[in-house]
Amino acid sequence: MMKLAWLNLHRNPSRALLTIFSVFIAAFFSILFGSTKNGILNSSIDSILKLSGGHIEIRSKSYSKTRSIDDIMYLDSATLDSISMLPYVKSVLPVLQSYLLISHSSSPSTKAVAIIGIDPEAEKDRILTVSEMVEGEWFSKCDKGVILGENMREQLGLGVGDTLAVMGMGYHGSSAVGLIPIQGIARIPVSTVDKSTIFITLSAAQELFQADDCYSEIYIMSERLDKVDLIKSQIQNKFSSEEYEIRDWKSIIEEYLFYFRFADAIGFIIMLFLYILVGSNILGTIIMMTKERKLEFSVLISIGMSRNKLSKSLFYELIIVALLGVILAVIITLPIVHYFTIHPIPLYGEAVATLKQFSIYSGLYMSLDFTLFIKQFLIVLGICLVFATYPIAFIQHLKVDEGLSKRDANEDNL
Amino acid sequence: MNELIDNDKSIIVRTENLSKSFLDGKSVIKATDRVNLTITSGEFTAVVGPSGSGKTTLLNLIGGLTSPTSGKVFVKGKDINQLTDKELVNFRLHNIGFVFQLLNLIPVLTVEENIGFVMELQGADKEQRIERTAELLEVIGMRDRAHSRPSSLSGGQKQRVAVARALASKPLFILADEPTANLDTEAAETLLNTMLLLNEKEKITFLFSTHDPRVMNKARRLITLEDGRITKDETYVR
Ligand SMILES: Nc1ncnc2c1ncn2[C@@H]1O[C@H](COP(=O)(O)OP(=O)(O)O)[C@@H](O)[C@H]1O
Ligand SMILES: [Mg+2]
Repeated sequence: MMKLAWLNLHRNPSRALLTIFSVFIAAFFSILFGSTKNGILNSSIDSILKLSGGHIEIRSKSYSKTRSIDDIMYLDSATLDSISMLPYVKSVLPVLQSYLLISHSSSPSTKAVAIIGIDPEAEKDRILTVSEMVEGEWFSKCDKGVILGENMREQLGLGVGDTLAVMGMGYHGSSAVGLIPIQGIARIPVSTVDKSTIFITLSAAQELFQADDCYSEIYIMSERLDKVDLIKSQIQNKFSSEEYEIRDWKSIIEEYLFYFRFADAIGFIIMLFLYILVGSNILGTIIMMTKERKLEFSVLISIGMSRNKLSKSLFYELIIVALLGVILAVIITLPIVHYFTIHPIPLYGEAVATLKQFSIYSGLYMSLDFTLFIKQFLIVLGICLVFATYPIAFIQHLKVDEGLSKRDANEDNL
Repeated sequence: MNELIDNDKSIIVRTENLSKSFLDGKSVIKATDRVNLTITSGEFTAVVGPSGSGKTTLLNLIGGLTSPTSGKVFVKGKDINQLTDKELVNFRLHNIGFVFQLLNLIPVLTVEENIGFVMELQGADKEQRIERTAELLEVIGMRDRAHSRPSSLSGGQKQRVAVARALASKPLFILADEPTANLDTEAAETLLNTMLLLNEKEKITFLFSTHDPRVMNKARRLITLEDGRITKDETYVR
């Protein structure tokens, strides 16, 4: 029977190809749409994480409560290195932040600002903080100057080359006092940061606050969203839960989660429509190719082939066709999806322009996720299996004498 | 009385007031009307009559492809309308050979495989199939076409293979509805001669329908239908 099914496919290649094609189209679009949907979701999560920190945040428990410079944590460089060596860790962003009063000799007023010490190299992975330099250069490792936003520059009425007098509390009772030149002006898309924050290199910050090897927090970016839990558990092995607070992206973006669920639901509805669309296409093809063979089925039943045997043979035929269609779709979509995980699909329009301005948007990426492939593979195959009941029911209810009559027998198989 | 008749080993088919009506819009068409008919072993019988006279319907009733509106069909004494659909399919497989006017053969199988197909359905093993197939190919004079596909055969050759296919299962009798309708004169004659040969040498019983006078001339018994009723039933010695 298997052989007959296989041979039957060759008999009318255009019919078989048509069915394969309709299955292929179904799987093709399901996979592409699913990948795009996941890609959008992942990159939105990424964008928000870039705004807020990283996939995982580490800080000391006490600092988390007090936000006081006295409660920041000490970590030796070996510990930091060991984190960056964990599998799937994309980058480790150590930060030392605090508050200062700044003033300038040309004006009597002082201003309270947040100061963030960052690792200039690692920070490049966070596109948020600085989208581009307006004046001056981005930090190199040992720079001592500060970079601030355009808004802050206007407030202060100062520019590159001017020197700020800073004053604040240092680590463990010391004082943080110094003269720091302005080394650059940056465009900072997030306005609260633009208004109130100045940036400095991590090493300069540690020197200023007399806090060598101390950090207020460590942000960790993961290569893949689904590996965050793994990284987190390994970090938890290194850091005692009594001393350190380790949060992951889920708790960080909790406030946004509703929107993700919403987007997910919309994606699901679109997906459903897609399935209905491609499903009815498959069903149409199956119905057509079943009806077309009425005479053939009638002859076979007449000469003594049982309806069950015939159904089975036809079922095999459909399974072969469906498998070919889905496998073909996977083979073809794999490189496409892979390509678009690296190269974004450019989108245009006002909304996109706004997003771009905030550096949140960098294009429409797809997500290459094998479970998605397997899921769509099974769904489309499942749809085909459900539809395979049509020819089976058709055969079970076929009236042989009608099928044989010339009234509606098609004669192309003479 | 019935028992008596059916106990006669030579009776293969017997119908009893066999009727089949179709509803065509509002009017009822009596395609087969109270037909009483007996076919005995070794007959070479043609059902004749103009188009629409009920030939196909009668053969379908006898072959268990259509269920009667009233009346009965006995094949070897068995009331075939008492059988379930499943049993009927199986009954046909083992007792009746069919030759149709159109699409008799499975296009993807070779001539040889087509002939062996019903035997395969019957569960015959490969050796049996090969042996019988070779035998039948010899009879229809097509040994050289054993491995051809149906599409490469002429209409007449296809019908001869169909006869061989019908014979392969060693049926009680063969039903052929207008087997020559799509054939030219020569091919029709060859087919009929093959059937006659099988009838004479192997005592195969044939019941076929036709409206071709030249084909009728070969039959030993002519059953004439008009509006579903038997109007003539003549036997000839040829
Ligand atoms: N399925 C059907 N539905 C309605 N009428 C039918 C059907 N099958 C046959 N008939 C009618 O029954 C009559 C006999 O048909 P048929 O047995 O095919 O005759 P023949 O084979 O001699 O041409 C015709 O009038 C035909 O129109
Ligand atoms: Mg007819």
